[in-house]
Amino acid sequence: MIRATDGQATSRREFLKLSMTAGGSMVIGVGYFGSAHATVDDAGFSPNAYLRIAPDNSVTVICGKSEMGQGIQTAYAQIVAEELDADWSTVVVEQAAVHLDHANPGTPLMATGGSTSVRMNWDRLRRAGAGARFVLLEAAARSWGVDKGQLHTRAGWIHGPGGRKARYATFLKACTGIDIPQVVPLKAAGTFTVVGRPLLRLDTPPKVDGKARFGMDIQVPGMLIAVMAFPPAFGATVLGYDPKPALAVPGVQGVFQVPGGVAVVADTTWAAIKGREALSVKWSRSPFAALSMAALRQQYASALDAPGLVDKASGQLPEKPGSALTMDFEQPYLIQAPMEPMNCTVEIRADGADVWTGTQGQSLAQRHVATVTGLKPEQIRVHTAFLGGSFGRRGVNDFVRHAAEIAKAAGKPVKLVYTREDDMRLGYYRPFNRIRISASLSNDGRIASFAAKTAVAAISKWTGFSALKKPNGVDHYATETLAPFYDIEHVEVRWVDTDPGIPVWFWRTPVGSQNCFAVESMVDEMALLAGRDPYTFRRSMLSSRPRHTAVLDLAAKQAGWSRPAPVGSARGIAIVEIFGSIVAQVAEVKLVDGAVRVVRVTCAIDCGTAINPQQIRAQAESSIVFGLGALLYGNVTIEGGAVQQSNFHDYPVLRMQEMPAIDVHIVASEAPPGGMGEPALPPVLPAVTNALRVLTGKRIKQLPIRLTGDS
Amino acid sequence: MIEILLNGQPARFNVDGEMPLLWAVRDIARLTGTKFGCGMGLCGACTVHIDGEPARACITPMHAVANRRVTTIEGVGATAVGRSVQNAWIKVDVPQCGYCQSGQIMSATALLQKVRKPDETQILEAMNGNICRCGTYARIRTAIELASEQSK
Repeated sequence: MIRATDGQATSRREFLKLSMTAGGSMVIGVGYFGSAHATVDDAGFSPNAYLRIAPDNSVTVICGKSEMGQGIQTAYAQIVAEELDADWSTVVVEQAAVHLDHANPGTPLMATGGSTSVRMNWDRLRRAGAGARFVLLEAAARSWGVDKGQLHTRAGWIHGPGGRKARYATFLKACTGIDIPQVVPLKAAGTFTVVGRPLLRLDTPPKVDGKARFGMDIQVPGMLIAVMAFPPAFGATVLGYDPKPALAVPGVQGVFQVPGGVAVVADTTWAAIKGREALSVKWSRSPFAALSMAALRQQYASALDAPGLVDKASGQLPEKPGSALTMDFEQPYLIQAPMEPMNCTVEIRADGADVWTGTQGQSLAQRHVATVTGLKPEQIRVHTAFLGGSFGRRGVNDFVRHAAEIAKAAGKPVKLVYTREDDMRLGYYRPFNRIRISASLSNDGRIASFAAKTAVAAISKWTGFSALKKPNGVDHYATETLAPFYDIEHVEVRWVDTDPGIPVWFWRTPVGSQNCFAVESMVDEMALLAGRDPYTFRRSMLSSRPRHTAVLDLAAKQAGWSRPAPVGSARGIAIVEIFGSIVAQVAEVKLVDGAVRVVRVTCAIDCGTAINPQQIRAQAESSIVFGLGALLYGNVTIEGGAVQQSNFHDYPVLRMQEMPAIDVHIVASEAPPGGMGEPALPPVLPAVTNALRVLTGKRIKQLPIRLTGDS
Repeated sequence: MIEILLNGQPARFNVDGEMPLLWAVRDIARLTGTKFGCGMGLCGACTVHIDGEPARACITPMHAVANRRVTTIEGVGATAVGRSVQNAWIKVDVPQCGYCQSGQIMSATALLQKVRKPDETQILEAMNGNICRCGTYARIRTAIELASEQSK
């Protein structure tokens, strides 16, 4: 078993930095030799700090990840507090400034995504807490003139011989000049008292009384509010516009053409919206004007006739294949549709600029504003507000670039606000895709051969992140989860790059959920073909995967798989491994007046060390609801080069009345933590459609689910 | 000039009567707890109370609220039911991103002010118009039940 304490050896390039503020606080940073030392300015501000202990005994954890609902502020605080042995009641969290010391280890950008925050920073967060504790113990030993071995810490106190004790802050001055060794001792997993506890989120109180500040809520003195007239279809450009009717709207202060459209700036959001309505813009014909769903579906179907790039090929095709099946699965474009529409506030001065926004990519936001203003990136401060949801969308930073252009044109601080319609129509979508899987059975009723080919656009191309392209040329996301982890003799995975030019981006498990849907649907069909139970069929092909087996068993047991489903209902099962975690789910489904009703989802998770079980449950519930919305309704369609959906009436999402009962079960583990913001999403798609297969005899191969029609 | 009683205080707005209450509250009164989500009354993020009744501020023009009592998330804690709903929200740890929660709390409070012990159907009726993309619906229901028990 891997133990949490094994961790990774301290990187030679990365080390802990200790500094003291003028006000007497201790600051610990984690960073690289190449970056500035944990510097502290006169105001006590340190851009690359991870942790600050103040004379008033407060412990501030400085979170370099965007809080978009996944509970990262609380998770980071728990990890640091654990190793520091902090008094949890004194712990607060602050959002970090933009600095590369907050980028994931080995990456060149400060960003949040891919369920990486805890699993990639667990080790360094622990070292930050442990390093501070080491220094405090050293300072206490010197102050009291005792051996360090006679001291121990508990909940913010240092205890010495003879019952002597003092709070951490007592020793802050004495910390000056103490070196932190390259390797600091970490706690053994079995001794955790903060990690593993279902603590309440630190950001809840301001989220129930209206005090939490989202990007949309930012107000800067002298600020104007902007909305933009965006192209009516992809790729259309401004041929001309008449600003006069817009300028006649009371409150409108200016109309500016900027790259990507025409902006109306006004005193209030309402005036800006009315100004945009009054504005008349002449647009060029969209280069995608001929693009329709019929043409697009045809393009993807034909794409699968091409050989594509081989991502994986192992084993040999069986000489005498048993019963075989080939199926195609088609999934639509989807929008993230977070509750808070995109927005960004920018103030440009001669010597720098400030950006207030909810973004998943602070470094890119900084670079966008630098490009627009001609300032240096380090002159741009990015203030990360709470994100009103994101699900990948806020990593695009299109709203930052536009806001900077408008602020520059207006010569005043500007908050750019997208309406819901802007958000839906000019989005960056989860890709459309079509997957073909051919599989055959062995004589003993297991899967002998599994060949999957997917036609999908490359997210790596749209993000510009070359690291998302594998050495074999395959886009990292295109084939995520497409190669099954089951014991299968022959596996082949291919990718056909198919990109009609519609912008694609991350989503909550972008392509991994699409691939899981196809793979776990096909595995279910093969179980039926073999005449076997879908749960034991899967289990029989996991002989080398004890963690997967345990998760699958837990889901089946908790769902009562061995007992028949209630009359009129059916159960489906599915499992995924993604972003360092394994999740299995059983969905209980029935039909009510011919419509799909998901009654219950039982979810089992192995995410390694569970930092906060109650937030893991919350993320599982959240992922399941997000997945069900996509499964039942999610469908972005394009005609004439334009997205046809505009708001929640034509892009429905799950509401309370469709909420299933969800029970979540976490496998006890001391392995390093896996991701948890996304992994519980993929299996709900096939778990529900596998149940529908039992209930209706029909295999759902096209999403969203339609029980009638030709899919 | 339109005058309203905003969270118990008289507030005057020199605006076009067609301006939705949402933007007057957010951009002029600077109370940003009431959220913009859809602009069409489809998501409930902008829910406020007008004379104690839940309403979508994004589709309520200012002329319709003249001389009426408007309560927002910033003021709802001054009422006993509002405070107990907020406390239940904290106890159950409902919010994730939190953006929709002002609206959820305003809808839940209006429900509990009218029906002390709502049944399943009454909860769905009151809450189904409030979208939460983080999927906190089960916790919202638990928190409503908790607040309902505590206000007995």
